[in-house]
Amino acid sequence: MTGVSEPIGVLPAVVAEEQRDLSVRIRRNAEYVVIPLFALAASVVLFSLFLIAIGKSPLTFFALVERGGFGTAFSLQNTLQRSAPLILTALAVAIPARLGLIMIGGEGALVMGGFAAAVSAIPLLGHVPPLPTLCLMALVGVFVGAGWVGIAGLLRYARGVNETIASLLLTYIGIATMNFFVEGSFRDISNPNKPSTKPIGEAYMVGKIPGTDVHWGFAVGIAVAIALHILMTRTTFGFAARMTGGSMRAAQAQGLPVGKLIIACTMIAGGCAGLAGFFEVAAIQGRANASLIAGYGFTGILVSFLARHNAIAIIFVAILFGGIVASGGLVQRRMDMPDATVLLLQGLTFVVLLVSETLYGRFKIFQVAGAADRT
Amino acid sequence: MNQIPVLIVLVAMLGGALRVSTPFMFVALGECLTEKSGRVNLGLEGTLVLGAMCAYAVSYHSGSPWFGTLAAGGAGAALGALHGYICKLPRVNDIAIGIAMMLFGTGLAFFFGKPYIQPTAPRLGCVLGMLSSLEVKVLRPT
Repeated sequence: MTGVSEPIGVLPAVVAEEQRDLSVRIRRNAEYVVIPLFALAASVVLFSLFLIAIGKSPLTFFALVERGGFGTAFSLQNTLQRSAPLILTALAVAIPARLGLIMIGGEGALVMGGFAAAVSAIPLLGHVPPLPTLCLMALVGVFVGAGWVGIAGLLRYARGVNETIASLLLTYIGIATMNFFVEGSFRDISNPNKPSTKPIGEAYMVGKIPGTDVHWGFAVGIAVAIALHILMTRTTFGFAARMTGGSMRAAQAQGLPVGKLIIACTMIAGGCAGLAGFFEVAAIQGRANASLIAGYGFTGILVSFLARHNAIAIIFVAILFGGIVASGGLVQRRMDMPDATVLLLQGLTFVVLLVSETLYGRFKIFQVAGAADRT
Repeated sequence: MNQIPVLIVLVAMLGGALRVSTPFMFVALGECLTEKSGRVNLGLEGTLVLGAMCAYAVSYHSGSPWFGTLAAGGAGAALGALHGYICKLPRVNDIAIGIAMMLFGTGLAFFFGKPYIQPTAPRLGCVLGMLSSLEVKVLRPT
């Protein structure tokens, strides 16, 4: 900045400098808001063209999404219910992304965490009151999830294994492990319909937030998002993590504990996804079975990228996507379209959004003299 | 005495292995080519599913399995070209694009494949019409 050489005591100069600083910050940050919004709008336009091409009305479609996702108290609560696991699985992508690691193991950690939580509750049912049982289940879910994604972090640090591929493959192993036990030694033989573990029972379920139909997982998700945002932006740990994300070699040269940071961040990520699994078991399903594999882990990747790995933005994007997922049934019934329509919309949004990454730094309006230190 | 069943099991395993490994061979061959360019395409799951759906649909309509095979290759090439084009843009993460293509490809396949796996029975239009107007009232009480 040019203002550094000016005398500090001159008040108007300082005020002008502050104002300039503010406008620089607004302009810089505007880019991070405008481009994702533009990508979102572009994918809506593309999807509308697609709907017109197959002879459906895009207006009806988006009106139904609005009604099925946000229009009424019932659908809004349904949306918030679905956004709870999305917030947590998106955090599972966002925290390692700050380190420059793309971890996509959220689905596996969710499944393993949920399964471990359900199994850990079985011997306690009827002997221990619900609250300590739920606390233990949550802890087990978090630690199993953390361990699961932590494996990918450890492999990355100790052996240089590509963390994306490792976490993706761990997801398949996690799902297969749960299926193995649920169809084998932990199967509830009194339930012939679908291979499941024993139900934890109504008394042991996580309750609703008073006055609503939304379970506590939503509130916990928001609290975790805010806590992690503070951790990543206001602490030395977060600073070291972001510095490692800028350049891992430079961070190593500075003497930062890169290995510990990688493992800590991947474990936090896995813990978030495991917590999502715990809430899916303890608040929605009541038991662990194949319903846990609902794709929340993969939608969470999309949510995190759309929020640019910002923990606070994740909350809002997760609610938006929770609404889109929740409206799938209504769209299917009313427009006579397959329920995969919302999957297609998600995929299209994700592709357009990632393509929009190439637009950063291309527009003069966001570029400020002296602010060219951004890559 | 005991040798014949063992032989049968071995031959059956070999046959099964050949049958099951065919898709792996094709997908791995494709990924080999992609990785020669220094990029990773994680979206092959979506490419495979879309190819399968196109092959089924085209074979069903044309009556020739070979047209279906051709269509599957064409669909895969289209998704691959899209992935390649997006990867060449600056600052785009090829791994994330791969995941996006996986969602996009499976979404396309499920969307267009639905009519082929689920024959729809004739509906009771009038009753359903009433129900859907009821639904509006339930969802929107005002």
